[in-house]
Amino acid sequence: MKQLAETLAQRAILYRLLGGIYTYPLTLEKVEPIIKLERQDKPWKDSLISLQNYLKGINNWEVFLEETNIEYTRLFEGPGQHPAPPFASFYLGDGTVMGAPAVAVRQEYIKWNLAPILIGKIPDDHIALELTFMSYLANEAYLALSKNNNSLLYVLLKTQEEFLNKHLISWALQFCSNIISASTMNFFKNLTSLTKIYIETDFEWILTKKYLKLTTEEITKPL
Amino acid sequence: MGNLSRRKFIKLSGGATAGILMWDSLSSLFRPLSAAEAKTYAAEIGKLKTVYTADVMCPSECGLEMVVKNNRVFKIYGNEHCAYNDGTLCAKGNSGIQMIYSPYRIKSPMIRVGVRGENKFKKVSWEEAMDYIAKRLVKYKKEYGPESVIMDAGDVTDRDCYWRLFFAFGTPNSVEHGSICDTPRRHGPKLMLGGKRIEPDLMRPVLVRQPDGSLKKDFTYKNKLIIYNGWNPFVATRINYESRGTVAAQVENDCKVIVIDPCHTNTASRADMWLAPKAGTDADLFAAMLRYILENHNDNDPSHQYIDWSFKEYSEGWDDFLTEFKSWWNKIDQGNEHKYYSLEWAAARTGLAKEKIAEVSHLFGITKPASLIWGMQSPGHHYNGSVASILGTALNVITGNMDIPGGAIDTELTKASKGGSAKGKQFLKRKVKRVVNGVEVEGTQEELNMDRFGDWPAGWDDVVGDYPRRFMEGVSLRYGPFRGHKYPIKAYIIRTGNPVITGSATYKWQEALTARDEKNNYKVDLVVYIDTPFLETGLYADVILPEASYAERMSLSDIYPPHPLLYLRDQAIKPLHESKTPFEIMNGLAKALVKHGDTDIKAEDFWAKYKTEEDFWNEALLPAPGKPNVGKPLPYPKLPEGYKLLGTPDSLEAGSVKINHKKKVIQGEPLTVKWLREHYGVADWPMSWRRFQPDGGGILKTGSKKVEFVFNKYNKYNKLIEEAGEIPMSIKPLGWKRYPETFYWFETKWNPNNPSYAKYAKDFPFQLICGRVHQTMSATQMVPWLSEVSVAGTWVPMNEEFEYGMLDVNPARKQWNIDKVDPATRYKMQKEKIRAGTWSVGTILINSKDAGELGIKMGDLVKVENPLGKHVISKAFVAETIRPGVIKMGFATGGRFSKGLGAIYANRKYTPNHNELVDPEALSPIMGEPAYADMLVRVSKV
Ligand code: SF4
Repeated sequence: MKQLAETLAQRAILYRLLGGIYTYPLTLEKVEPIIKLERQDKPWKDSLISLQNYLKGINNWEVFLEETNIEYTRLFEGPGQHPAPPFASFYLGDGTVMGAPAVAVRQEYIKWNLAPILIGKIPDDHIALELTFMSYLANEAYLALSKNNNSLLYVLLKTQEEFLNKHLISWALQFCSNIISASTMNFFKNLTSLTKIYIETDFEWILTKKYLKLTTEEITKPL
Repeated sequence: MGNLSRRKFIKLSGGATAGILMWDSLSSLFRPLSAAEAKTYAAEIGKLKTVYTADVMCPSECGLEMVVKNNRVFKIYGNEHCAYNDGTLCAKGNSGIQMIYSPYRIKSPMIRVGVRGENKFKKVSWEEAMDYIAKRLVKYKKEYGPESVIMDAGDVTDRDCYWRLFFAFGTPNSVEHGSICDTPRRHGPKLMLGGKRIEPDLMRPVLVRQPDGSLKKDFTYKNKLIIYNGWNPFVATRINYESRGTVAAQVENDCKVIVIDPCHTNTASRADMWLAPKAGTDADLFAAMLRYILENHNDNDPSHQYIDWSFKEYSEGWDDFLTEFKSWWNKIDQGNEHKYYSLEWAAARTGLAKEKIAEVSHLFGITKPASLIWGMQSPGHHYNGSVASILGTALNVITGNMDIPGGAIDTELTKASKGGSAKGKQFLKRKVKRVVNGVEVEGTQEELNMDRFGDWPAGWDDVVGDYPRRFMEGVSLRYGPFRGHKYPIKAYIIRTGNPVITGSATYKWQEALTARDEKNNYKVDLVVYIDTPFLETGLYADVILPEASYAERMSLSDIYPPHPLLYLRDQAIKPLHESKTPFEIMNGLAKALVKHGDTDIKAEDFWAKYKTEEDFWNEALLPAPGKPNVGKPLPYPKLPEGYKLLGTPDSLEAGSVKINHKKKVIQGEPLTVKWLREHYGVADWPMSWRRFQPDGGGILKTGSKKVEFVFNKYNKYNKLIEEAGEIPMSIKPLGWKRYPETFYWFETKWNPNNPSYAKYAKDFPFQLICGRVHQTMSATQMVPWLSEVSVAGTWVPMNEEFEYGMLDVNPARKQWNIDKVDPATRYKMQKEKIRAGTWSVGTILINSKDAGELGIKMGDLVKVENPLGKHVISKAFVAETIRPGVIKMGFATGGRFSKGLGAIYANRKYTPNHNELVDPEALSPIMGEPAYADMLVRVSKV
């Protein structure tokens, strides 16, 4: 129980952190918490350590942030062709943005009474939105658990599994690979390695959770 | 959002993580919805909404019906209520979705961080970008005057917002792409009719007043003969209705079509006669036609009644024109020893048989109604194109074909007025002072114009082709009150245009935009690029601003209909990403200028005046239709004839009008955006013909309100020349001291007929021409569908193998039920190898006889060199479809170096950029248009 709570909270935080980092501009407030994250014995530990070590080695944050934001522009914005458009529709559709994948995730957000602030402007399937939505679900799950609301917890975990399966994992891995091969900055290489392995292992984790296999009666009982 | 956003911080127990996060900054992505809101949002999903709007995928700007689903443009159809395209939509219009939703469009404002041309930018906020621009503009204004700033509002007609802002800022140098498009083509109609574009009367249906007083749609074609000279409307669309109308007139009215073009174009493939003259001989042919008609006309012989003398009632100066024209008839052309404009002379110059020239002249003279149309790829792109367009106008006028059913219509004179005070031209009348040679002088803002008071007095449409020189040398005013005033160009703001590729020689633009001053600063200190796609000119920008795509902004369209027809470009969806509409950019930059100390920009002229986009466009609609109630049948028989019409079609029809007899104005209900939205986006007023009126009350816009065979429009320039005592450098090479009073003649450049260039013919035996390839115009090559469709000769699947990012679905191909494939490996966006010979790329078209002599086979790589030491490399398309001795390239089809363009960029090394070969000095002497189609080249196998 305690372990589950910790995992859920930690997932909420990591997804939120990652979601934030994929929004522009990169700022010290967004990066600092990563350095403070505890290095747990998780499969993504090495990637986290690499990223943390990289960040700890930065002497001049101003220069770092400036360079990183220029690189962010090159990777995700262009102008013109760029290596890693941060939208699911680009990878899962016909190469344009705001396609069916964006509508599908919008429907998910609405189910949870959420709407992207820039609805209709920034495509709903932007990597930052999808990661932040995962964080929201994880946090809600954490709260449901703390209130012993197991049926809600079940629904939330199931939603996360489906969201990862249907949406995030089906493109984010390719997105990360594009960055790893295109970026000249170790920050992005480390960040995307962490993102990639984290999403992969998180998906594995959620698939193995027995809570998802519970019957309707079981899920109403305390865990 | 939920519990996370309500707390400022979240702390996690148990030390599982370090867990202190600032949720506020991170949760700015979502907002919570109330249950009711969520229900509304959910209900919207899947719903369809129809918006009537207008295209900009090409300059035809067809009326569109966009179907929006889930906030996304889902389908695009032609608007069946818009007679201009009558519900049709071409493949390119259909591919708009790929443009709007291209991942590679410009998404955010950016500021350059590398050197110009390096393509290194940093995303910034709008505020930062606006401050960056405004701060500099205010500084230039203080140091050099606002005239040191150029606003080039590019290739789309909705430029009003930008013009308003920059006219208000104080510069007279606010221009458009038209000046590097086809100004010599328009010169004749503008000079003689006050118009611009003579087109065949082919737009159907048109609303026509019936004898019983009702209005009915008329679908009938009256045309009997159309001659397209260097105009290929089936491919180089500008006047959409000509594609369908030409065929319909042939089929339904037995109309004959003659195409005159060195290349067997798509339009030629439907023609009854194709004549392939040498390039650059349009004026020669037209002059011979006019001489033939004058010499062979016989009032008493119905088989030779070519001239309809009634033209004299609504024209002036014919006798002067005729005398001057005839004065050449006995002169001998040293190049061929024939008398000017004789059939023999024209045959020697054009390479056509003299019998054919006689036949075409006779056919044109005898067939009524007929129209002689010349295009942008012929007179439009030749040094002496203005001569051809004057002759062409005269031919249409004297044969009585102007403005008759099935004849030739100057569509500039017939389209509705729009823009009005919203355009801001009133600011040009402001009085300004400058110190010139130590003396303070006063004049109007307009008189600081770099072209009309500089080296190009008659460059009415501005001379963008000469910008590189002025960027390097600065501007010297030579005429008007500010004669002697000099200023540098410090800022160049380019919106929806790509002059580096399309505005004369590419290398000159590159040189000028990267030239540095003695302090190592760029000479043109600020370059701002505003657009949706990212094209080559953007590579030289300091600031990039994302403009909302055409589906996301509002404005008005009316591309040359034969009568007033105006339609709305509406916002089908919100501006995507961080893009803004021209209206928002106007107000945003206006505020930033004020913030940085500009005193000419006033809130009451901008954001306080126009609270919404609609306010702005409502003002722009006020002058519509603005045409007189004239012609046959009279558009509104119950309203006074000859009075200017203003207001919605239905209010004029119902007679709900106020009539000002003193001003001769009929004011109906003002046309508004709301009215347009309630009427499928279209305002369609009645058609009429015979609108050139003897009493001057018709649609002609010359000073005399008649057709002017004496060129009164030049008078004011001649006055300026007299006052200044200085001959414009642009006309000096012609040996002129002033602009002529009536008919004139001069040769084109880089043409073997011109004795000055005959010497090059041996080493450079080919004439190079260029033509538009509809689907691959400068900006739309980023749309992959279009890149794949070939156009015979100049856009052909002759690619070499290249890699291109494409989506592979189910790359492992082990499990065929896609839902069962592991999501992690379900799709792969990857670089695919595109096989050689499967993807269209820019090529040159060369005649098979020429190719055979040079040992060139289909698909061979060839080098095309000009006498200026420039060359391009291209694959050769060998065919019979071009006259021997002429080669053709597409316009902007190759050598493209912006990564924003996708596959065309990958193929840049063996595809030709035609503008590498154009002569930057060869600007047509009156209008300053680059002579894109005047060049001699040699071709060799690589
Ligand atoms: S002709 Fe031009 S404006 Fe018309 S649909 Fe095609 S691309 Fe659009």
